[in-house]
Amino acid sequence: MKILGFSGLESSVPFKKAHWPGLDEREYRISQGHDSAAALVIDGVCVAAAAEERFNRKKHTGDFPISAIGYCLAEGGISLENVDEIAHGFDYAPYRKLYSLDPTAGELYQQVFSNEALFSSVHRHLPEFPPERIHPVEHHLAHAASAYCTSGWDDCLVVVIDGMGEAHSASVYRASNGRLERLHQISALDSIGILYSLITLHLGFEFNADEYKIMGLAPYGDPARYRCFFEKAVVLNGNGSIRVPLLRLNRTRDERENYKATRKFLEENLVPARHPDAEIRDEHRDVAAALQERLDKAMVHLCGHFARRTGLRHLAMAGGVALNCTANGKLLDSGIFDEIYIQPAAGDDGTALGAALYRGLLARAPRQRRFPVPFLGPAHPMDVIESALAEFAERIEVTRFSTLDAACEEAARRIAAGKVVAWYRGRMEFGPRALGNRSILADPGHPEMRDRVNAMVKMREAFRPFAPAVSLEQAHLWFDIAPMTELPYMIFIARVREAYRAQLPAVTHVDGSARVQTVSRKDNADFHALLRAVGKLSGREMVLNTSFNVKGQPIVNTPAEAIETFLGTGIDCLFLENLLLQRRITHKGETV
Amino acid sequence: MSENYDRVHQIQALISEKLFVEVDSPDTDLFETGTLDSAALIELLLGLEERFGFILSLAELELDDIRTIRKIAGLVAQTTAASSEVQR
Repeated sequence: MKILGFSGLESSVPFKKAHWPGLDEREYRISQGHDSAAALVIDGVCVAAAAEERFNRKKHTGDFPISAIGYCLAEGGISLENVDEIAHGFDYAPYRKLYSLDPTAGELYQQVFSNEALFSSVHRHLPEFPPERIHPVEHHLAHAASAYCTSGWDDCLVVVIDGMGEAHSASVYRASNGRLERLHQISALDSIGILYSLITLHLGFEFNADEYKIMGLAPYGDPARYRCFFEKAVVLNGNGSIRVPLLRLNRTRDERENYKATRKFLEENLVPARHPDAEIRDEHRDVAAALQERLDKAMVHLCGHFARRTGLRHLAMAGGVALNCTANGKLLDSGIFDEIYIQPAAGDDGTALGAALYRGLLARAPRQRRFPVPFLGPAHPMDVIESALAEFAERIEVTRFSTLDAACEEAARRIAAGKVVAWYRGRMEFGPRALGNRSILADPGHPEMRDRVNAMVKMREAFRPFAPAVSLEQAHLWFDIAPMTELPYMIFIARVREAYRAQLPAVTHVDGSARVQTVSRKDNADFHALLRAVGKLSGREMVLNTSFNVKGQPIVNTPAEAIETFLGTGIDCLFLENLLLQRRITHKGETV
Repeated sequence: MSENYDRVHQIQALISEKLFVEVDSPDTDLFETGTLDSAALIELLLGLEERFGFILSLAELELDDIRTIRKIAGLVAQTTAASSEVQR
């Protein structure tokens, strides 16, 4: 059975712009249907998946994922007529009548959320596909299936937690033998995800995009100053549920649409809103710290309650909040669960995969084993690479290595010498993290490396440390985890062992934590080979690993984008498969 | 009778608590008077599910069945009875 899943609501932001003109651009992200993506699932196994932003180069785009779909079909070696079903990661049909009460809601439903809008969107882009084979899937069920079906477990607790689906912000399921039984749901008006995003916006960052920056800012602050505020803002109920009274302040349609009353309350009772260009002060750090602390507690509260109620010791999670590495690390540390699996594309791009997997579950398709490192995006053949080289021939010098080992040896030598190396190989990652195929790498032990990569390459805020990628065999030497613990998706924090914190300044946060990625030979052979080569020189099979992009740009997809980004930044060199690219220097010693 | 009276009061209190709206009469038309818009109605229904411990089939729900607090109380009674029937 071949099922094509997709995410995103292409009319969502245009609708908001038409009905709420004059908002700040950042406020238009307070809407549904961002992060369009496509995934192709054949007989229960995902063979291709990619976010549309990587093709249309618009970060977090909600546009119909026509390019991602084209890629998935090509990668799967099938045409659209071979697709049995198209599945979409929202199903608003049960809410149809409820949206008919006021004219704006009615129009929103008709133009953005309805099945008719879905069918017409698919028809516009894929006119030959029959509408009776298009299936909407409830948003949280799509997230839940994405986690359960790729967990490799038969029985587990599944927790979905995000800003909101159709009407809920969290859903808890007992998964067993291919079935998802819903145990609990939390309303969108009690959404800790939305509260986190509103604070993100209030502190001058992007709603539903920059939450990871608040997570990164939190360890610099003291949670004590605003602890009491967030204890009142997020109430933990005895039944495992969560209430967020702050979100209930919005009473008019307009207030609800943009959380105006909540934001006014934050302005008057927390801290004044920070302008994006203003300095980050202690009060902002303290707000981030207190918010993160409350989220950590809320996650343990919610997941812990249902672990006790069900007796389940394995937890699978998805939803945007499940991308919060700190909360995930605290949950892992709590000892409530023997194992926690987080589907690495836990945001809404992952509902493309989940919608397809859910339809497969209904059809009793086999479930796949534990998700491998999600190299599910496009690889580009040598002829495409050669064309890109030709396009930039005047500006680059190319050295060709005959084997991966030789390329690794040279890359390791440069990393050890303090160079910043772009590393581009094979298939692109699905999900927000670069896990070794579209990465920027450097020495984690170099004291200035964090500021250097932040300022010269990423052009981003200097407060955020980078993640370490470390061989599976050596991870426990540097980090406080058991030997051979697999953390392959860079989605949990772990403590850097006390003795090594000073030696790993570029990847160790001020609280001694790091967003560890373990790299194994079986899942990620090329990257593992590079880490081995690095280890031979430094004694440490570890690099600083950050995504290959600059601020505001999606991660690079094609070789040409890789070269262009390399040339536009301070990256020292680029390894494109086994080719080393450096800037061409003129006889006057200047770069071309 | 008294059970239904209690339910009416519980729903009145729920609307006040969740939506910050005071509804004077159990027979006030919540839609015609503009008391509830779509977002508020969804919130109310989720609140009913949470308070009374059942899951409503939203697709089968008729707006006329939830037009007034008294009608909502009737729906709650009916749905609670149906849920306990299923559990037996």
